[in-house]
Amino acid sequence: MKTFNFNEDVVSTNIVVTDGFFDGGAGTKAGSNYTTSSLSAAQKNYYYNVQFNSKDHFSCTYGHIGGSGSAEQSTTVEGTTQAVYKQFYNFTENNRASLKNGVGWIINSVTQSDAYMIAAERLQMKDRLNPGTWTITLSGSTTAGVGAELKLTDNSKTTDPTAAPFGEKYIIYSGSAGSVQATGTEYGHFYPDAGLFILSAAEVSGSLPGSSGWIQSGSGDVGKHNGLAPDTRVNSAADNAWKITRALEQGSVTLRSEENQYIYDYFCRAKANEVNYSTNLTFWSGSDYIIRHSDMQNNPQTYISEVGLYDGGGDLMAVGKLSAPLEKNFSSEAIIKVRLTY
Amino acid sequence: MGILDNDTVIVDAILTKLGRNKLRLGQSLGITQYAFGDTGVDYTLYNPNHPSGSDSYGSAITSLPMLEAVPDDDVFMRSKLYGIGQRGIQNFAFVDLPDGLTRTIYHIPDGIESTPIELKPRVYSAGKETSANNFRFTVLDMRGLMAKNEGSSVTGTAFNAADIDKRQLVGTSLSLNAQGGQISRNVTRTVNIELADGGAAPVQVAVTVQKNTAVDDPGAGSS
Repeated sequence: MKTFNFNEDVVSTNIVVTDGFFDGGAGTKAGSNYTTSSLSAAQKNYYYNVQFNSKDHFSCTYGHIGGSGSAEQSTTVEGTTQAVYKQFYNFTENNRASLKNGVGWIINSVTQSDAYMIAAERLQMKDRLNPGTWTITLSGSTTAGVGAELKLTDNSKTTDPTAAPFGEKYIIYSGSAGSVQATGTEYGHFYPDAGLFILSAAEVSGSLPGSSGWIQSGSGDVGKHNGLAPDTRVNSAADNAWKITRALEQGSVTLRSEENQYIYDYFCRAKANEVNYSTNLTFWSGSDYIIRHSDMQNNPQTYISEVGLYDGGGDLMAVGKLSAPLEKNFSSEAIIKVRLTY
Repeated sequence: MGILDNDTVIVDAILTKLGRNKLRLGQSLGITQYAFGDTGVDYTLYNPNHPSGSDSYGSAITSLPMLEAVPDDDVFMRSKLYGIGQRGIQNFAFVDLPDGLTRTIYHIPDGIESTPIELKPRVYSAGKETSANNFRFTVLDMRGLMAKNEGSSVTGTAFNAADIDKRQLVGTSLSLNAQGGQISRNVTRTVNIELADGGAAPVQVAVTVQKNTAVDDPGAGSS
């Protein structure tokens, strides 16, 4: 085995690889491709899963700071929407004491009493979601039942992020693919490292309220004009997580995943007078192991078909295969760049 | 005046199971060395009588599609290329085992112990035995076995452990035995023996290990 000269033979590079978020690497999928997965009634009290190609891609939920929209909410029973709100707030915000004072997510300089949350499936988003390139198109209608769309994106192309407990936080505005259309209205917060979109229920329902019949129609009623005005009754029929799920299913999403990759290039050099013999038994012949071909006796030819990278103890750590064997003899040199990515 | 080839080929490598395991344990890969191999190349396909002349002698080898790399570290790099400056080598040294390439670890009757085997390889070059050689013994699966040689001993994981337990020892010989009462069925295990510093054709020994979990299991000499 030969030892690497690390000053000359090894080059490392860190690159960010992006890919379409959806199964198979697709970057955009219309909501008509989505389905909701089978969940128990108890799970649907909290969230819905949106699938593409039978694989989970998003989880959609709704939270209310006071528990409105839950089946139960009282001084002795904490509603499901309150639990969701507190869980996501504590997860995404630094000032965890503020909830005690009735202060939640501040969007448009106002505490948002309720919010829709869209969480990206970790398997699809890889290391994190790619900021500045996504568009979520929510589809619904006005109170009069006229169809309308709300296209959302983040402000990462023009504005530095603020800090979430685990990384970056951006503001969600209307726009697409990182191009903000108007900064007058903040629609929510985007946390790329957590794969989370927190949408102000007040703001998104301002654009897509849905018809009045829809608001208290419960889940599964797709005959009415859907929208995002929440049903704030304390009633088991209130099913606001379904509202954001339905708006996604009628809209579309363009989204990319991000992954950090570390590339190590090892330059493996075979000089003219090196590696011209082989331990391959077909190289030799007979019980005395004589070189098989007499014309090779003074000019041996070997064929490099693989390169092994070893640790100091001689254990094989990585192996690279050539697409075709490379001829090597005393008249040739070879440099094989072995690329290891992980 | 001839021009020497200076080819640069780019190859994507994959981590072996050993490499992955190092990363899993939070260790760096610690890659410091490399070697070229030709596992799977068949030099009998080299044709010095090729009608197109010497440039085509190896065309049957270079035209063959190659298999993709796989993570198992025993599949590839089994035959390595070697040589630094030597020219005119006519013979290749080889490892030989005087006691044969198939051995059996017998169960001792009326107990749960077994009889160890001793692997004492020799190296021959140009028909003569060379002296004072160190060998690398690689037991591809040590589950239920134990081994020792000069100054070191290794006990494999339990016979019914889920993961294969590959071990290596370096020395002039190797004593291999079954752990008492561990082997619940007859199995055959492989031991690769190569010169620790390379330069000789390795051998593989197939070791049959008799069941030894019950006192009435078949005894010495039976299989």
